Amino acid sequence: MADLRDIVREKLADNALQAALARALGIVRGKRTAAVSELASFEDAKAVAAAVRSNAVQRLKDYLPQLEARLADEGTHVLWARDAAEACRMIVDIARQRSVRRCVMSKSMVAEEIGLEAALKNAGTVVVQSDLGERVVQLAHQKPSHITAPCLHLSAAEVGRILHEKSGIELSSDPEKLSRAVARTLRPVFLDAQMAVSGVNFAVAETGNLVLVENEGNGRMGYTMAPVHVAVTGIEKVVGTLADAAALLAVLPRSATGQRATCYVSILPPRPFPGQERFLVLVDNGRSAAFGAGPMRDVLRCIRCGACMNACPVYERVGGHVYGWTYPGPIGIVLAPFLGPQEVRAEISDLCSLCGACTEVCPVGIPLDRLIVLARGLSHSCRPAAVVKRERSALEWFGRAMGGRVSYRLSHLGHKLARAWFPKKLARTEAELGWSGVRTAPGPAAVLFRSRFKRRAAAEDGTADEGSGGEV
Amino acid sequence: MKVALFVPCLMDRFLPDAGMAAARLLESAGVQVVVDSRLTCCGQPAVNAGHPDLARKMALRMLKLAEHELPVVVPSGSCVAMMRDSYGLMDLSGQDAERWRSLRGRVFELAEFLVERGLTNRVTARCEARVVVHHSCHHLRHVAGSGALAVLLERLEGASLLESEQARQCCGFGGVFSSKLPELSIAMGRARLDAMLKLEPRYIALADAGCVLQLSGILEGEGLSKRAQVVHYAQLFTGDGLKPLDAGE
Repeated sequence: MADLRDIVREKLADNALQAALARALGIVRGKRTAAVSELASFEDAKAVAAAVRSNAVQRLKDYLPQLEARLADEGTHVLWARDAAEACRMIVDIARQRSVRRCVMSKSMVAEEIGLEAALKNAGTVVVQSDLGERVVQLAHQKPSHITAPCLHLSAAEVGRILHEKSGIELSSDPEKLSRAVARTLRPVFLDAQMAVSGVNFAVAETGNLVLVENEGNGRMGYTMAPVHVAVTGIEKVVGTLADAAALLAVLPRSATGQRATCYVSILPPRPFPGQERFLVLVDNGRSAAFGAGPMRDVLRCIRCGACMNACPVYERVGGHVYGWTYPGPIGIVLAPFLGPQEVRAEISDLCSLCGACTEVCPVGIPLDRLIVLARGLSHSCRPAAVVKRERSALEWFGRAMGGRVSYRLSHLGHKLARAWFPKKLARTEAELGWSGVRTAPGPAAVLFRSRFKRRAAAEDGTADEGSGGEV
Repeated sequence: MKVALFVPCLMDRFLPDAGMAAARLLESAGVQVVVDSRLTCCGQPAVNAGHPDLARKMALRMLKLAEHELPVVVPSGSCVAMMRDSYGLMDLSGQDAERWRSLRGRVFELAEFLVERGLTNRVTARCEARVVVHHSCHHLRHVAGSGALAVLLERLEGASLLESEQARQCCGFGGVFSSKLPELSIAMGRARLDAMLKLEPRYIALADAGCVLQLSGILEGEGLSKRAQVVHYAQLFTGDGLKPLDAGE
């Protein structure tokens, strides 16, 4: 993997990306603010949603068997997958046994996470993404850059060009025109699909209902028409009751897209539609590890609304691809130690200034910025030992310098002397630390605050020895 | 009333004017200020870099030295958040846990302290200038909220307070973040400065030393230091270190 800093530089210099990010995030932030402020108290709604998710996570071991039993009673097959490979194998087997040649897939982050599209393709099944954003990304051979808006990194003109080149759609940059044209190309896909793959927003333990939200209607079209429906989701997506799901629906669309409700809210009954086979694939893939990771367990509360990345000032500057895997933004940083591929676990937590904007908007109360500090602690074992050692010795040196009155003053004096006697060497160090050129490093004060304060106190009451005239 | 003022390492070493301003602002509100020069750093850099074990020693030292009854006032939201909340990452027990419990209950950010103790009405100050206030993240989200600072700033006569549309967005400092991904850190700071400079402020006021160093470093690096001065908000009240309007502009 290329150096993270280089990737960041490249994204900062990408004017098209910068324009797309500024535009899209400007719109979605504004819509969210409007949508949450029209509620009497969004904070109350958040508190309820947080309690629902917290309870669901604590009670996973009760809710999951309850859900399974409920669904099995009604004829929905429940499959448990330990990891991505097992999940893909199971779904490929389902397709194989039924000679599925054509599969329509609606937007599912878990399907992205486990690499399901590639697995099905390798097994000889044609997969067409039916969500507009996912379809664009699929045609362009790219990856989604956002969990609710897969092609947020592209301008409408770029989307138009991709659709023109790859799908023969008339060149345009009018989103409405483009989405209609794509819908027309998808119609035969829906009619021919022998299997539909979807995600799940909430699986209700008590009733066995699967709740799915979407805006385009493509998901519903797919899984109501195809003879086989495979719903794939993480084991954490279970909630206790339909009332719990309703509490989450009060905050999810407002947080995600700034809508009061999505255009479609589907509550699938536990019994498959007549003539249809349905499978629910529950994927662990690291979630149990998160469950057992002390305070990090809270990451399992996430309902994948994307509000944290929309609010994130780092995401705003560099977009989602920099994070290097399925889940970008603050939630991606805290999921990475458990769900992420090894190669992203070392550096992903660097992509955060700990500002807390994510925690402020999270509708289920995940203390994201605090968990990112913990994720940084977990990242050390994935980084080169020499790098960690260097970082630790620098911090140890800092600790010693700060560790007493004398060393503190000596380190300040050293800084002043270095500035006077070895300005070039100091400038090199400052440059290594990224404080040079367009951001000037601060110079050490001629006189420390503590000295100035003491002198003033001494001048006022005639005492001059350290410790008096200002000591506690 | 007597308080222990803790001017944290970055401010002590790089922004002593801000430290003096904090002391004098407290005094102007009738508070007696003492400074314990044994207190240096709360340990934040190591914690934020994901090495809480390395900060533990500093935290224990801080807890031991602050074992008195006085309120501890800190003109830095991030250090307050550190002492109040993040010391919870250090597995403190016994006497240390006891000390932490005591400190948590009496460590305050500067504006927070003045507002909570109802002392702001004693403050009178003038600052005839256009001022844009940029919220420092930890001050805003972990400590006092934007409310305390707003109440305090009401006592500043003559200033026209300007609100930048990006006032609540991170300046990009982030401690070790500023050194690990400097281009990104600077790009974040630039975006905030661009929005603020449009308002033509004389002063850009923040609530944390790190943020002041970040934005003033970029202004200087870009040769824009004459456009505005980046300060800690306490300086607006006392005038410490404020540069007068540049006649050449």
